[in-house]
Amino acid sequence: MNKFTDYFCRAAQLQPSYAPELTIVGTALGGLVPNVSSVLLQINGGPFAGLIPAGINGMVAQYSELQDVINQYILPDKKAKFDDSKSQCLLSDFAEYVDTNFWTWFNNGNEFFYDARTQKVINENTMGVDPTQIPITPLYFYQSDEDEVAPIVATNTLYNQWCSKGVSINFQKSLVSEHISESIEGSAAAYSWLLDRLNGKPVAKGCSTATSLFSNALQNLQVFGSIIAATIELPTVVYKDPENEGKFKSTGVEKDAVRPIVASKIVDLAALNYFIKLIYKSATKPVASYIPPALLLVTPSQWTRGQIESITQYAFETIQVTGFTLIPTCQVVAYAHNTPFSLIIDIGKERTEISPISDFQVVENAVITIPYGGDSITSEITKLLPDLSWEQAEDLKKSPIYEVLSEDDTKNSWFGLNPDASEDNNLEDDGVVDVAAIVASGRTREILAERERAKQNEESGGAKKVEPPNMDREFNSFVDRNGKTIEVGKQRFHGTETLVDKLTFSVGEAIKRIDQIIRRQDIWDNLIITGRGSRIKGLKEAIFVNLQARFLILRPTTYSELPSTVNTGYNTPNANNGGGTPGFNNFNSHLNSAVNNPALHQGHGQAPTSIKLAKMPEYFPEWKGHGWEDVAFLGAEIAAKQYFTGSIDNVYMSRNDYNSFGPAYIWEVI
Amino acid sequence: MTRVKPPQADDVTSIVIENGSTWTRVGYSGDVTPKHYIPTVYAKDADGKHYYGEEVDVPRPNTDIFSPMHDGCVQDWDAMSSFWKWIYSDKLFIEPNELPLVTVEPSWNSLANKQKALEVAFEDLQVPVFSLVKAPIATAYESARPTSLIIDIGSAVASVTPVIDGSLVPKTVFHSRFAGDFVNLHILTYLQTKNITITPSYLVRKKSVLDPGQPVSTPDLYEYPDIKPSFHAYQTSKVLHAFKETTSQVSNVPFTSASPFARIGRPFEFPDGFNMIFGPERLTTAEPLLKPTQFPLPQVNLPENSVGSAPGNTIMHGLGDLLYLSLSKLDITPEVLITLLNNIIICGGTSLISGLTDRIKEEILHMFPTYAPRFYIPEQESHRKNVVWTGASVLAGLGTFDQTWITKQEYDEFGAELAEKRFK
Repeated sequence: MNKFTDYFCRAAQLQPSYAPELTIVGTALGGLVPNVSSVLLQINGGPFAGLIPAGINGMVAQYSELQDVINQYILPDKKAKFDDSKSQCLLSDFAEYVDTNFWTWFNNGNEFFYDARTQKVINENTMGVDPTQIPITPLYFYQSDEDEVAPIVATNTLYNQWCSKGVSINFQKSLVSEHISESIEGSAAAYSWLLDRLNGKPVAKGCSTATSLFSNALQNLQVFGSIIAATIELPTVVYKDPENEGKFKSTGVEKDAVRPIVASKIVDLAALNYFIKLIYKSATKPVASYIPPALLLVTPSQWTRGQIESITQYAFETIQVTGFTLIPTCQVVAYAHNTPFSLIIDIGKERTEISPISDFQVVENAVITIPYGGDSITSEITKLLPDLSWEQAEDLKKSPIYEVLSEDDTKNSWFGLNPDASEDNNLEDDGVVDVAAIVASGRTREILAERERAKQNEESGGAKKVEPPNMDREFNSFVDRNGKTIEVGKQRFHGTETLVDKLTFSVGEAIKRIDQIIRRQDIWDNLIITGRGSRIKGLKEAIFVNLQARFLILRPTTYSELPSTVNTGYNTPNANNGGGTPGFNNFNSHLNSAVNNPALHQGHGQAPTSIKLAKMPEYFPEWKGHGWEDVAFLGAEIAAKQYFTGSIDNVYMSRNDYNSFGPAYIWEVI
Repeated sequence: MTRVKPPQADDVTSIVIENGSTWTRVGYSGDVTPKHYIPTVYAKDADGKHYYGEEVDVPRPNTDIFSPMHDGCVQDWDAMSSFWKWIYSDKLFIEPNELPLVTVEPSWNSLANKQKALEVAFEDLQVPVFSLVKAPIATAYESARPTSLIIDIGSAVASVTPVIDGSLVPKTVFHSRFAGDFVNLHILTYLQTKNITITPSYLVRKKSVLDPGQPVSTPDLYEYPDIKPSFHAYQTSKVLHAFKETTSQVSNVPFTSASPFARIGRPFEFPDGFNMIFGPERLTTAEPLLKPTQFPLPQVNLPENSVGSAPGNTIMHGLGDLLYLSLSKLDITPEVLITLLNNIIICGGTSLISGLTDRIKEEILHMFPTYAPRFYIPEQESHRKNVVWTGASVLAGLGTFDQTWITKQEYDEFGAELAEKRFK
């Protein structure tokens, strides 16, 4: 619980009498707990039950008389457990006390709660009870409607109470986040509000309430600029309004659900438009007094021209945006990596899209989409393991034991070291060491050292048994979505081969379609593998290795062919001193070649002489460890910063443009 | 006669399709570059199923590769019809009846072929409005040069077309098949005489690392059953194309083996890792564009009437000769000739072969030293390849283009005969 928030709230409440010399320009409060009793009754026996001992013990620290009350009522065998929370952090509290019904820990259930001494403390801690104590600074409340800890009803009461006494409160409710996430995500909005107060922006007098569909997190974009990861993720789904034909709602029952986008294509444009409006409206509500922000949509290449024009029209006419633009997904990925020339391999569910980028623009006519993606891996798995259902294969694919081994790893894996092991023979006797295989693997020393270490660990009575890594085990198990544990053999390292092969070939084809031959090398040096499908451990590496195996120009003379301003005569093989390129001197053209100095050649125009994966820039610390699969969002944030601030000309459509030229003008700017 | 008002450029977008011999370009009118490049070939398996686009590259048993094009014109209309339908469903994601369609034809397209185009567009695809644009006119518009001499060197056909005030005189249009594919043929023939086997990329699992000239000793290849020779040849042509693109070169003066130019080598690495430094043959494989008969191809008989606007013309001419023929048939004043020579446009993918435009310039400068010819050669590679498509995209967006549109209603009323009037 926001112990902190509570004290802060009370500080604001007490401030006029308590510290009148302190200038407080505004106070922001999230997940308010105005009434302690309402909270205790709601959370007991639930996932947040841990807050009860934490909260009570927190109170005890301030009001020592409470300790006597507790000692009087608590059952002797529960006391030590109850006191645990004094010494541990809140998260441990959650873990320890989850679903505990505390009323069973005390004599006479919750009677201790209604003890006069307890009630006195509670009343002192309930906001708004004392009519003389009202805050004089503007307040910003943020809380979720679904708050499972602090019921919003109590906050509403406080809000009404203080508002009637002339306090200015901006109450931001959100509909779908809960207590904990809101206290993290909503804080950005609150921070923004506070920032405005500190900057001296006047707050509107009186009270206002705004309800957003989602967490107040969308505000983050404005507060922290273009550096943070998207803090919320929403299913793209809206619901048909059963009462109004053709209308939609943000909530509803599953049978009315409409998923406007299927396999990157728009299947229900009206529903998508409504969904965009929902997000936009809820994100902009808190800043309604300012000019409404512009809208930037990241779009897959499968959206059609008509659909995009229709969305443009909707954005200006219904959503009433002031500026609007669209960017292809792969382009924002390039922005995020800051690579003007690159190739984006986006591995999706049903398809993989290979998009070369030149000068930060998608070379549309070089884009290749192949019908292989995450699903093709799953389907391969079901072929390898016919006993698994499609869902189980999906679960295996997503489990940590599913990985792609490199050639080296394969050699050194259990299967590499036990080439004769058949499927049914799972006797791995610890005493038997396949010496030949170890020696053949070329890692003799390491392997033996590892075995030695493992042995020592065991001998030293190690309570911790060293788990061998996944690749060193013949079998490993995963838990499917129904909680069933399933053991699989070496099939867990297979299933991606087809995808990798098809993808590799198409990458070569896509780069060949780049007309600027001189840029092909730059593109080969900046490959970006992204998309949810690329999360499988080892898959990126496998693709990378396969690309090198099939395309890299490796002949020994490659580097001596590079044009150099300084000819040292050192790097260049020279026929006269016997260092001539082998095989060439025997070469005769049908014209009886006059070529006698093979060193004298033009260099070559073939790519790639190197293949590299693009590196993510270091300057987005917030994104570290976040996983780069969602990096498109970061690119979109960067683009939005650049586009709408006028750094680049003619990249977005203004309301003025729309009024003069209509929706088709969008093609002039994207 | 009811005439529906044709679409205005400013308010209606059309689909623009240019079916080149190797690549088909597809996009929306008003755009500068096409949205899609799609190979103009299709694969047909033993069951008669067609595959287009990227699917063509998938090695399938008993599957042949066909091209619906011949001599720059559509030859196989059944295939073209289903190809267009596939473009709508798999690339554009719209129905053909949603937007007008503009396609490009070469200037020597026959009337029967134009009528067939109309039939396919209106009956198979049900497009609302249709138009055919002549490639050189599109090029002239793209370059904003209504009077110009257009040298377009593509993969299957090279052509010379004088455009005067936005229109062309059919008898002055000359084309030959001495273009990109002809260079491929020369490269292939040369490699065969050197006993070099080309292993296309689709077969290579892993490249070998080799010194120049060293044969691949242990090839690491994929094995696909029942691959048809046409599929293998199609994949091989990609390697030849890469060779042409990165290694071939045109000599700035008529080639002789004695020129120092011929002695400077350039390495090329094949998909399987075999590599070699190529000398004069880099030039001899490209020289036939200008001198088709200088390097005879054993076992290949150059087809009759491989040049000329009139059938039966059997002289085999290189680019320079086409130019001469074309200008000599022109019935124009010296002023117009000066304008033409001041607006020479060189375009087409094959013009990107290293040194080719310089050589053409050289030849024309020698032919007309007193006229001081001036050239317009788009610098960017993609620009030069897309000139025709972009021109068609511009044309489709012009109001004056009205008379050359045919609407579905008109077609229903008058039938394919309309082609004769509208697409003269």
